[in-house]
Parts: sequence; structure tokens; C-alpha cells
Amino acid sequence: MIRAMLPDFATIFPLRPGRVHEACGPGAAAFAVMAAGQGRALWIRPAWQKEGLYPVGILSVCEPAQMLIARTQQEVDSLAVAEEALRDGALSCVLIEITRPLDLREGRRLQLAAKAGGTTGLCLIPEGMGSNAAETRWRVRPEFDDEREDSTLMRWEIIKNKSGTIGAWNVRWSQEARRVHVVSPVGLRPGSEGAPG
Amino acid sequence: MSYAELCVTSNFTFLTGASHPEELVLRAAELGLSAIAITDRNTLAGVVRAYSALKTLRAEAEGDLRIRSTHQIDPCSRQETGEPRDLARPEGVVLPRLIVGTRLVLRDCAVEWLALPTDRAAYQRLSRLLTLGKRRAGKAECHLDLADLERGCQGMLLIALPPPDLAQARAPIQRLVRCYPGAVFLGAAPRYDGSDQGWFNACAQLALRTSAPMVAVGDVLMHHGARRQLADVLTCLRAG
Amino acid sequence: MCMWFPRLACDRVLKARPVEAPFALTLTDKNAERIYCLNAQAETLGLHRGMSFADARAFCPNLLSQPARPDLDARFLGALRRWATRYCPWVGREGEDGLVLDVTGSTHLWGGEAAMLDDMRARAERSGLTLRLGLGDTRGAAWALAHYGQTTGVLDALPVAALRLEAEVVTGLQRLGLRSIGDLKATARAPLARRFGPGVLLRLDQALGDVPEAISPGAEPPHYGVRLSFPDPIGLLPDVMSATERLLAPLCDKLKAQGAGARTLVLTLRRVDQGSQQVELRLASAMRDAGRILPLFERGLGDIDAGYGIDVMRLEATVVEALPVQQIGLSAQVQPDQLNDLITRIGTRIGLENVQRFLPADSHIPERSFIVAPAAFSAAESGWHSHRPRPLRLFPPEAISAEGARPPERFRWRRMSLTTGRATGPERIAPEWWLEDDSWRSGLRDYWKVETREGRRLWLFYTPQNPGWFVQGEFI
Repeated sequence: MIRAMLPDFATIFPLRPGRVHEACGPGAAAFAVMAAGQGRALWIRPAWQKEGLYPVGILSVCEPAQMLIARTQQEVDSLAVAEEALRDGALSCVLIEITRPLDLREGRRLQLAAKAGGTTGLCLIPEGMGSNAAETRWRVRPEFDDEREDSTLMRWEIIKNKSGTIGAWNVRWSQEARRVHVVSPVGLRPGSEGAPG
Repeated sequence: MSYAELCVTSNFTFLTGASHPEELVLRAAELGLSAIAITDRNTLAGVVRAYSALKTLRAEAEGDLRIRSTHQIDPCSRQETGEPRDLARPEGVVLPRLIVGTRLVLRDCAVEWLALPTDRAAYQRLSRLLTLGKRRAGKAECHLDLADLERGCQGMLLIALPPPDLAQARAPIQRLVRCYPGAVFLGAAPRYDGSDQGWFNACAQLALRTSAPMVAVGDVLMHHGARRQLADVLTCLRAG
Repeated sequence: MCMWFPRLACDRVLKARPVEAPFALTLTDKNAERIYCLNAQAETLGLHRGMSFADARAFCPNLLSQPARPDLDARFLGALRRWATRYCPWVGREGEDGLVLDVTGSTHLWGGEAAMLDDMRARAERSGLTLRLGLGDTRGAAWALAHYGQTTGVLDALPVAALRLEAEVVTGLQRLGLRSIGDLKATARAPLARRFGPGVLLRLDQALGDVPEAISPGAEPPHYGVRLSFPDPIGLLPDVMSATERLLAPLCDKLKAQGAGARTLVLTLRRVDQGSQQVELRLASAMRDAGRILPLFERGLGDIDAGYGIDVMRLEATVVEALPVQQIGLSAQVQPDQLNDLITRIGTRIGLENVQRFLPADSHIPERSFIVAPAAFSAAESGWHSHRPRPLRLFPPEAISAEGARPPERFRWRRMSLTTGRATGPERIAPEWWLEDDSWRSGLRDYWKVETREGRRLWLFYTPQNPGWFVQGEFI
């Protein structure tokens, strides 16, 4: 019964373009580079943030040459740059690191910009600070893999889905195929941490 | 647990080793190794220097210790009064044994071999083998083939140092194991590239398949980390 | 005719800051400081050009000096060249310190040759320049008279050096007893040509006018600026935008004609009350398409305070790059343009240097294996490679408390207690000792990939030479 409730993974990832999505949890950065894939992407991050992407490390997932980074001094700039980039349509994916919850107006503006440009937007948010305007929200956590060495096993939970149901999967990045490979769907216990928030 | 280093490259291997044999022997004594082999590329030249260094060490170790401060000097006449007393030598100082050896690099085989003669006759054979190789080639070269090893390596311990592609190592090891059963080993040296565990596992499998037992070697290039810069410069010169 | 400024470099410096003492400019040449230029006072003391500065100081202890700036001298000569066009339209440079003018047909405007020469001398003297003039029928003759003669006269008595010959040739001719141009004219030509090559005879013929020599006037560097004045002040944003559009059109035409594109544009708006405001637009790539540049101004103009109105607008391309004409056609060509426009727009908001991209660098040290460069000033590069698994994120090393050369069983990192589930390693990375790097002072690093039972996969390293454990990255 539980399995029947799960949405088909292929219909929700890769993320729906022309919409803004959200990701949180310790694996959000990995989720972001996988969402960006081979396309041209812009990563917007506050200038004070020390923890950078390591271009050699993202090589197995996406092409570092296609990745642009915008360093902003304030959150207002981040949002303005994001809006500009989403609306433009020259990029396939815009990734925004934010540190506070967006209000409905800000979220809506990003959503409209994404729609206008046909660009995928992804906000990397701290846990529990989502905006109501987001199309989907994901919680991503790396998992220890008992069986395989050098594993990329992760647990992806979709905790908000405007156009479908929620669910959770154990996934792995397949380097050969350069795509996300679903290992197994995870049943959601009712009322657990995976419930919509 | 005592350890003997069986694969040591001194500066008698041109543009490779970064330490003198003397330094290596001294360091081995400091670290309390049970034995050290000096194995330079197609030569025995470093062994001589290592041997004389070890002899000096032994002479020092066996003589008595005399310490100046035990002399008693009369403050007025500035004459020595009383006999200086020698200190008792601390027990249990063990100097490493020197193992004569060479690293044979062959023309037709990706595996390199450490040849460690076990007696005087084997030493003679090894010298003859090197002479043969050097006669064949021009200056500073040595041309040996696996077939030469098959003929002239009685009485030696042979340690195979496999190339990164282990598949190439199997056939030559098996050939020599057939000639010298019980005297062929597989040397596994750490590479420090993050995949050592996998490398050792693969070496162990190869050892099992070829029935050449695995031995630990360090593939030493210098006696102390401070020589790293020299080793790097030598590598640059060698690689051009 | 020829104008020679024998002390151009000195005059330039002393014009700005006059001194009443022997003065020299020095230039370092082959590890020796040599005198590049002297003022008149220093010259009377017997110093000469090319002398080593140390010798000169020995001769003349109160010699003042300053390092020479040949680039500025060249610019100064350029300015003089422009000034000299007041006498005639054809003015070219002659070497590093001279000008050559074709005054044929222009002298009568000044009331004859003598009056023109007087005017030149007077003006040069007023501005403190040493000037020597030569007026001859040919370029060669004018040069000879300026350097060796008295402005006008005949060439025959001048030394052979006046023929613009190389020093060795001059010495050679003097050895043969050929001291003056007159001697040279009287000598048989064939042996001369055989001995010294055709150069001597060519110079001689040029000076005498038997072989023509053209003067190529220096080209005026193009100026990319346009202005627009309004009869009535304007203040509304749409008006300002349409004015900008009208300014852009001629500027872009000019850029196109020169095969150039603007990289930085400055729009100056002068208000009725004499105040002026500037909008600077830095572009991510060289551009000359008015239709694309105009919308990029929108944001900057929005912040302008028009006050009582704007009556003059001036648009200037301050940084210009060569932009050859390209065939437009394929859609692939359009894509980078669109991206560059986006970078420009984002750059006007957060600064163009804050839009960055990664470039690969050749180093095995993780922190140095890439560089971050402004996207507008670099091209995307491929050539990324990794032999070993590398973390997704890299951060400055964070110390954890642990001991021993093997990764700890359990450790605390960022207030989390983690248990090692699997550790892969070590991968030994040695510091690049030929570069000074404080963060690698602790020596070798043994890197381990530690997969924790809690899920996080971390990149730890151990420094065996100064025992300690650090976390430096996180894997996917």
C-alpha cells in the first residue's frame, strides 16, 4: 500500500524546469550539483561563506567549466541576482544559497522569474526554513552503505510536492551513466520526520 | 616486532636515490631495524659503502664509552686526579645486519626483481650476471632478460616488485617460481595514493595464485623526510 | 623640415619641476645605470649620454638624477606632434626625439620660412624646450641640418654622421678620410657601395633629393566619445534612456568602423546646476551593439538623481578592445552573447569581479588545483581531471581531536559525534616545498576518506610530521 502512494521518481527528478525548488539537509549541495547536471548553471552564494564547491570533486557529476559562481554581500543581492538569472533563460539551472526563510512575496517573485525564463531554480535552505511558494522541497542525507565501498548512497525525501504526493528513496549517483540511480524506495512511516512541514 | 627493510635505493642509483648508503645504514640502526638490504638498480656498488659504514658503527658500539665530565680535575693544579671511569655499555644495542643485494631491471619484463644472494657462491653468480648485462650494453646501461635470471640465480632470494598493472606480473613470476621454487617472493610496497588497501588485496591474491609468498617492502628512496626536496629535484632531472 | 628636441626627456621632467643644477635621467641597461638624458648645465660639465651613472657622479658630485621613463617621453612626443600640426598637416615622428614636418606650401601662412622658424623657436623657448630646427629640401637634409648644421645652409660641409648612418659606418668612412658629405659626394660610388653596402649611397641620395623619401604623418588615435546638449533640461527616465539611445548609435558606428568593441562605458550627465553624475557600465565582453547595450544602462540610470534637469549628456567608451567583425548566423554564436549580457547585468549589481568561474590549475595540492577567476575576464577551460576520488566541498581544515596514524574510531566534528564505518587511505600528499604556503607548514598529509555510520562522508587528513587530525572536505 505504501509503495503505491509513492510518486514515480522519474516524473519529479530531474526537477521540473520553470519552477523553483528547495533542498535542505547535509546532502543539499550534492543534490544541487546533481540537479544542475551537465547544463549551464549559476551558483549564488554569500561571500562570507567559506565552504566552497571543490571543482575537481564535482567532476564526476557535472562539468566545472559550465558552472558560474556569484558571490553576494547580502541576501537582497542574492535574490535580485537569482531573479535576474532565472528570468534570463541563458542558464539551465540557478542555485541559491539562502540563510533565512523567504517570505511569500520573495518566493513568488522567484517563481515568476523561473517561469518567464524556463529555468530551474533551486534554493539551498537551512532545515525547516522553506517558503510556501516552492514547487518541491527535498531533504537530502548521505547514508552509510554497508555493502559497497566508495558509495554515494543517499536518502532523498521529497517533503513537499505541490503537484503530487511525497515520498522517499535511497539513491546512488551512477558515475558511468551520469545520472541518479534509485536503489530502493523507502516506506514512509506516517507522522514521521518525513511528513510535510 | 622486528622489521627488515629489503628494498632500499641509495644514491648509487643514478638520479633516483637521495641518500648515501652510510646514512641509510645509520638510520636503520637508529630505528632498530633487524636488517637492511641495499638494493641499487643493476649494481652492487652501494653495498661496499654501506658495509664499511656498518663496520665503523660496530667499532663504535663495541668500544667503551668515555665521557669527559667524569674526569676529576684538581682546581689548583689543574691536574687530573683519580682515574676516569668508563661507563658501562647499555645492553641490548643491536646493529642491523647488512644484506647484500641488487635491484634487477630487465629489458623484457615490467616486473623488477630484488636479488638477495644467500651465500658466497650466489654472490659470485650475481656479480657474473651483472657483468654479463653490462658487457652487452654501452656505458651506464645494463641489458638483462628474464631468461638470464632463469639461468643464473641459484642460491638467491628473488623478490618481485610488480608494476601498477598487476596482470603483467603474473607470467614472469610464475616462470621464476618454476625455476626456483621456494625462493621467489612478491614484494608489496605501499604507494600512499589512497588505494593501498585494494593494492595489497590484489597483491595478496596474486601471491596466492603464483605461490610466491608476499613480503612487505618499503621501497626506500631516502633516509629521512628532510631529503624529500633533493628526491624531488632528482625526479625532475630524471623525468626532464 | 625637421624639429629635434635634443633634451626631450629632461625637458619633460624639468618642465614639471625645474631645478637649477646639473640634472640627469638614468636608465638601467644590462645591469648598469647609464645616463639617458642630461640638461644643459650637466652637459657643460663634460658629462655625456651613455656614460655610466657612477662615473658621472664621480665627475660631478652634485648631480641630481631621476630614473628615465621612455614610455612617458614617447607620449610627450606624441603631444608635441599634435602641437606641430599647427604649422602644417603632415607631421611624422623622427626617431625618439624628433619630428619631421612637410611644410611645403604652408610657410606663407606664417609669413615666410623665417617667420615660421622664429615662431617655433619662441614657442619652444617659452615652454622650456630645447629645440633645434633644420629646414632643407629633403627629409635627409633637414635632419642633417637640425642635428649638425645651423637650420639652413648647404650640406657639403657637414660631417658624414649627418647622413643618418650607423656608428660603425661613420667610423669606417672617417678612417678613409671621408669626413664631410662633400667628400663623400666627390668619391666614386661603386667602390663605396662595394665596401659599405647600398645604405650609405641611399642615405646620401635621400639627403640630396635624388631618391624621394616620404613623410608618414602619425595617425590620430580614435576617440570614442559623443555628447548631446538639450535646449531644455530633461529629467524623466524614458527621456534619458532615449537620449542615451541617440548617443549610443553614433558611438557604436564609430566602434564598428574601427573594428573595436567597448568594454567600459561612462555616461556623464550634467545637470543644470553644474553638478554632474556618472553611470559606469562595465561589460562582460567587448560589445558594439547599441540594441544590446541600451537595456544594460537601465539599472544604472534608475539611480540617477536628475535634480532640476539634465542639459548635457556625454557618453564615452573608456576601455576599448579589438572586436573584429564576425559572421553572425549560427545559433551557437548567440548563446555566449546572451550569457555575457546576463553576466554584465548581474555584475552591475554585485560587481563584475564577483561573478566567477573555476579554472583548472596544475598542482596536486587540493586547494591549489583550481583557481577562481572573474567570469568576464576569462574563458571557460576544459582539462579537468581527477585520478582519485575528491570531495564535493572543500573547506579550511578543521581540527578534530584524535591520535595515531589510523583514522579514529569515533570523533566529534561540528558538534556531531561520528563513528567511522569505513576508512579508505592513506593518500599521501606532500607539500609543494618550492612555494611558500603557511597552511602546509605542518608537512606531509595522509588523506583518508572516512565514511561514517551516521552517513556523512568526510575527507580527513593526518599530518605525521606534526601529529594532528583535520577535516577538510565532504564527499557526495
